[in-house]
Amino acid sequence: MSLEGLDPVIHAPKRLAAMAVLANATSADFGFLRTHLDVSDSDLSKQMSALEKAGYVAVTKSSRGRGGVTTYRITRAGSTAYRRHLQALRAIVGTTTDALP
Amino acid sequence: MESFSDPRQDLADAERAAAAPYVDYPPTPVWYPPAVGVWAGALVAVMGVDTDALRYASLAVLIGLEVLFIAWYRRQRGVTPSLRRAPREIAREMRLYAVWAVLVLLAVLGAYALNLVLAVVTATVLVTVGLTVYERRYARAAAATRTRLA
Repeated sequence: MSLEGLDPVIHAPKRLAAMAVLANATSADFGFLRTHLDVSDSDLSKQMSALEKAGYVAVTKSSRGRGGVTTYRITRAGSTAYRRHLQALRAIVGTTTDALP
Repeated sequence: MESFSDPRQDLADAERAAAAPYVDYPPTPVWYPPAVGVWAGALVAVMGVDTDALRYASLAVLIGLEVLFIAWYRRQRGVTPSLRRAPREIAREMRLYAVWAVLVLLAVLGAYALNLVLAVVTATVLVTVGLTVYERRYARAAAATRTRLA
């Protein structure tokens, strides 16, 4: 199995799921990602920090109502990396379709 | 990278996650279609206001309401789906809705040429009915997408 093209930052399952959500959304907030990924607050924070550190997501924090809302969006570099990662996965399994999730 | 999961499973998980912004959403409030219908009717009614200042002020109020609603809905939903990469079941409903919107616009313009009140009623009724049908079809499409990706 060739591992060429796989992005070590995105390859972790939770981070791959987060990137898939963000690649198909203008933005997503912390609560949505936590619910969808079924992770704890601290785990999600850790995963998103790794993506942010890699420059793959941008974070916006706002204080409204009872608490702040943390919103994430994918960056151009993140979008490129995510697509390359999917292409690498498809190459490994031998799928030729260009349709990306 | 210390360990690797099954790439097929990774792709399937990615596809499920990619659909999440479209299929994971809170139930649409029952008041949403009629509220938007009334909003559309009001928008048409404003076009008939003779006084420029009053017309612009009314337009500003209606646009302000729309902006507030969008902000509230985005916060409720927690995610803003991209319109470009919807799952095929939902993309089909979006295309039908776009066609419906054009037909509504043409109907309202036609009614407006005849009578303002007729145009207001046309906009209110067609937008309300259209959104009600769209919301139901969207929910079915979302359920079909969830089933396909399960």
